[in-house]
Amino acid sequence: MTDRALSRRAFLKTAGVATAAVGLAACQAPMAPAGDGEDAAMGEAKELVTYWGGWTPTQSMERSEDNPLPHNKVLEVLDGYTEQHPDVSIEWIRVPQGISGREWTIAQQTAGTIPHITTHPHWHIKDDLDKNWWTDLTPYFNQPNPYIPAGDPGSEKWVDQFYPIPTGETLMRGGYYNMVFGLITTFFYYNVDWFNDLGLEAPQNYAEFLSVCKAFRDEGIDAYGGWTGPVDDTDHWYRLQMGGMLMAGEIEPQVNPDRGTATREEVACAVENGIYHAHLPQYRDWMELWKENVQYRPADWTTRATDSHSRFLNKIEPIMENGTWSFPRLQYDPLVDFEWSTFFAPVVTKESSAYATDPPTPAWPIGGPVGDQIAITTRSEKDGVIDTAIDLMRWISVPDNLYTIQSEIGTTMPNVKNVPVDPRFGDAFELLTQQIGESQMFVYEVVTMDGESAEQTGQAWRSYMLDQMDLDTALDIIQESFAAYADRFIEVEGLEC
Amino acid sequence: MAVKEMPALSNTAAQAVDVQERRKPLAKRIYEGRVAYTMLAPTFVFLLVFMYYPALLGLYRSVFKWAPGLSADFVALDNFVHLFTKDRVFLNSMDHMLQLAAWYVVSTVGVSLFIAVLIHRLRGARTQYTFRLGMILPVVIPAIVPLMLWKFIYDVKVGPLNAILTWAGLESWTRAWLADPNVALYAVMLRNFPWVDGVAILILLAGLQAIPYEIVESAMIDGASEMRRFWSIELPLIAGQIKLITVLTIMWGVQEFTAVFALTQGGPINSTMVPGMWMFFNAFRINKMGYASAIGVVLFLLTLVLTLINMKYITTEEY
Repeated sequence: MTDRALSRRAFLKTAGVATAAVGLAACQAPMAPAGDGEDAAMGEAKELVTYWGGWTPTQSMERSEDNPLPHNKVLEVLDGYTEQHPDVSIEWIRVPQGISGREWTIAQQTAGTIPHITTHPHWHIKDDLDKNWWTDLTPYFNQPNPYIPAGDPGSEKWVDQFYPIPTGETLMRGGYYNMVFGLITTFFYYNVDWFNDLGLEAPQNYAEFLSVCKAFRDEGIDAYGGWTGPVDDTDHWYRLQMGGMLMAGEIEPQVNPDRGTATREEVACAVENGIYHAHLPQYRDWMELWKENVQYRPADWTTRATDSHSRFLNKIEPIMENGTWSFPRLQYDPLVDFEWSTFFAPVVTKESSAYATDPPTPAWPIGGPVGDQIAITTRSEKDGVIDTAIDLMRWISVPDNLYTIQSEIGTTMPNVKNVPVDPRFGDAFELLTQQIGESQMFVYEVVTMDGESAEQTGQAWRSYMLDQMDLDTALDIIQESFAAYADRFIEVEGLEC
Repeated sequence: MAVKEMPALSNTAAQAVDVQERRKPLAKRIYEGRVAYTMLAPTFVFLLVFMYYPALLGLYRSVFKWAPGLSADFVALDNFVHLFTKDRVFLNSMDHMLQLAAWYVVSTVGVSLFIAVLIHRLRGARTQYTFRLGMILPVVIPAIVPLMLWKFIYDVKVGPLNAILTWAGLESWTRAWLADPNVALYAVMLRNFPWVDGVAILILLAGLQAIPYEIVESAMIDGASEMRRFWSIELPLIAGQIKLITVLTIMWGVQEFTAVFALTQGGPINSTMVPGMWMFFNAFRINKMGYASAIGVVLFLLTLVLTLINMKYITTEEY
């Protein structure tokens, strides 16, 4: 039987017409969003879509091994806001676990579905400055926060609420694109009981650190555990601290003379002018010195160790390099039946390297203004809710409100004045608010260069550490990636070095 | 069961009807076929939007330097030239891909064929059914589950593989399987031991069962051994199925992404990097969308060639 209506030619013709129709319909200008422009200002309901990152309420408030830090206080603060502003509704979304924040953000931004308020770190936003994705907050920062009583920091200028040194690190092209509410840093957590059993003490310098690791190696233990970052970041943060210490003597004063935030401009020009490069003796020494500790790590350090906590808690590894966020987990975890403490990055002394300063330069604290970073997207301007988004963030900046949120979670220190600081973070807090954090360390590739360069550099480092590449080849590749980055950056920014 | 047969039109009559239909106006023909068109339209539109449009856009983007949110710069074939002349990671990833594809073919075809023949040799239909069911059941498990399981099996500290080696007195063989650049690719390859592919087994088994028994029987009467029967009769007669599985498996190897993403993310130090993963990395980690599209185009061309080979050479044997 012949299908009378479905000859191939007819089918293709019809399908073509239908596709063209669908295409035309799709190309039609979208309807204006609710609350757009003038209408929004006329008292219509304002709908904010938000993503709160680490503040997002946990799915359960019951503490368990899988849910060590249950929290939901952000809802209390949001409710407080909507009570005062009944015309505002705040939707908060939960991003599925296991999704990279950066990839998710790029996809949402590209699709135009990014929340009006979302967490995103400044080191990624720096790559987006030409994309018109993020709202420049500087004009708003210079206005008063209406929720702050007169005379308190923030009552004249919102930005005064934030600690200036860490906040200044997030400046990009002279503007602020993040509100940084949390400060974090890293430590070496160690099992005091285990150390005592072997007659060891917390190491003060790198040579002692290696000795401690060796003592554990003699017992068949891989001592140096902890978080292992992706290749473009670092394998351990101590690597960067060590680089900073080795460069502090001769190189840093040339790259970053004011010893403030090492800007991308400074780093690119230092590379371009041959001041900072991979063939420096300091750089070679850094790589050789760093490689000495590889033998004391667990064999699977190259794969991201997401279970570093459990290894420390289960007494598989006696040292765990990790961040401030580990404190509450260690505090509440029932597996902790041993005494633990922390030591800060051991300094590099002349005993280890000829390029170490005398007296040794202390390591800069890793981290700084990298916790609870929240940005406002330009979608909020398009949807006519930018003022509401700003107002909500000012409400959250009120010390009592921020304390309500942060103290429940306990993983960060506040970057807002008049918010009480947990005493256990006292020293770290002093360091981070009175001197500068990782952004002074121009050697931190992913912060002071771009992802592409950081990836190539990281691969070369790891290849050398895993004996898959000799040092000279690794240095050549690193230098190649440095130079390529400098060329890219200088071209894009129109920089003159 | 009796089937009422429709009277068939002769070829000439059918052609005459077809010509008549073509003479009708398009609108009328569409109207007459409205039900069929309406039912086909959603699928067709979704296919266009979600399959063809991204693919064509990828092709277009591959000649641009482009990152989301920024304007695109036309670079002609620069992305492709860079891929094949300067991108060491990509070239190495092609090598890894070929190794993976080769192993997938050997393991999938070899093991599946072996098991299919064994099942085919079973005498009882019920036993055959039970084994067939046992082979196909794992197919219903989401692919990510065995990958996570193998990640655990390979774990250096708590993984059963190292535990078994230690128990067997082979402690020197233990290692961080997925973290050691010298063995990580092989660890990715050898996952899913014993490499049973239920679908391939079903296809091969169907091929074996379709061989007329008279052919086998006459060979047996002539004194052919079991091996002779396999090599000289069954193997040639299921060559079509084997070719099909081979081509499909090679295409799977070329497009490999999931296993690498779940197990190693291409590491350590790119030792398990495959083009699919490298494309993902360029697109979503460092935002080189145009460059990533170029990788996609290369993969597409490879797949296209294999598909053409499949269409040209994969034929069903006539008995």
